Amino acid sequence: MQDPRLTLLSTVALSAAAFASPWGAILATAWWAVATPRRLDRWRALLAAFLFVLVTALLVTLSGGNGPSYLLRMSAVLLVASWAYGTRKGGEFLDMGTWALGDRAGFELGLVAEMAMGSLSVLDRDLALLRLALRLKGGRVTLRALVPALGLLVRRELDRARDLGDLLAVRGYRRGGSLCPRFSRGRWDAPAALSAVGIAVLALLA
Amino acid sequence: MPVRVVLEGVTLRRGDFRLGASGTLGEGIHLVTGPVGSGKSTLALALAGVLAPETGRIVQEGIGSMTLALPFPAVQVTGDTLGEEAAAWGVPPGPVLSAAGLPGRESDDPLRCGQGELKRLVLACVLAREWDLLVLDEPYGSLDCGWKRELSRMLGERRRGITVLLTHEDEHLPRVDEIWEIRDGGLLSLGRVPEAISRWSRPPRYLRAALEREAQPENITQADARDAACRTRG
Repeated sequence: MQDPRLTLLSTVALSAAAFASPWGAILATAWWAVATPRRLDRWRALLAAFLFVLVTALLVTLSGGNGPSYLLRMSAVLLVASWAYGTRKGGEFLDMGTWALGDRAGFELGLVAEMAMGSLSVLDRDLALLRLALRLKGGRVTLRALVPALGLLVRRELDRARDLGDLLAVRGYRRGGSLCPRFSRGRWDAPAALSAVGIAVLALLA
Repeated sequence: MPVRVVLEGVTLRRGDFRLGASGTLGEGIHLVTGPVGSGKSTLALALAGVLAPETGRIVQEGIGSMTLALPFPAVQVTGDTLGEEAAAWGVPPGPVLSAAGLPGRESDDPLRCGQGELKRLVLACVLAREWDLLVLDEPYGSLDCGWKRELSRMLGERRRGITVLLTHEDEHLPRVDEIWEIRDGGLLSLGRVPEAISRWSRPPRYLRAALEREAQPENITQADARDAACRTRG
């Protein structure tokens, strides 16, 4: 899917469908299998998120809830999220924000979203470096070593966000900005998005 | 058991960049030189086992302990305070912080320290331990002249293991055992010092000046170049 607006619409619709009912989750998974290249980008992060969902599902089951249903629904949400994350391109949120809400609020919202997504990439790289740093120290990676390291990582991210804010201010940024958003659309974008919305309607009405 | 690292027909790849490397690194200090962007960091990662070769293999013999000091120290710090950082390396914070020129700063926040201070701390932590294989990627970066000299002195005190020093520093170098050069996308062994000095394509200025006067320095420090010049004049 090339048009980020339709990607976002499909993601929201399919996530809502998957979360609403097990049938919605099955249909969303089928949509993922048919309408996407079925690539599991960043499978390690996906696996970690899945394990977290699995543990939560077990706890739900143990406490008398419907754990398998939760597992099925959240797994479908993760699949859709993984696809949406894998297809994103830099500048898309800025384009969408400006297209939807104009040069002021839309631009700012888009900028914040872009910065947040940029931080995710930086955090990902920093996590890899953190693992390397702990490994190079020659000892075992214990919880005792990991906790301050992760704390440091979070503080580093906050510092970076503050520095970025300062940099924008120094460069004269005050509010909003002008941008002419351009979107390209693939042949199957509209049918795929429409079917995603259809799945959401079915799941929510059923 | 003697320690050594053997590079057998290794090709390293990072994105579009490729580097070929073959040779054996035995006990002692190995200087790997080459201009910025020639592939020193790629080689450092491979030697430390972080980057797998695309082809060939890197065989480590007798290596029980190994580490790599990265060029940017901030990414290597994992402790919440300078004292915790030293403890994370398994070294006593007091003496190590003193060696790094940061005495009494155990409770300082690493995020509030300068790059040079962090570099000194990481290097002091690394050098306070014995390693069978120690890889130092641009260890002189962020250091002032005084600390560059101090680092060379500390490196000169290492008595065992393999130390690989990858740098484009050309002023304050330690005495080394072997010189390697990265040229045209390949790692080239220039051999053992002092014979390797005359084969060095881009030696530091002071060595070049000594060689031009037909002096024969015993090693690669400024003092060696000076002594050789004195002997020639005498």
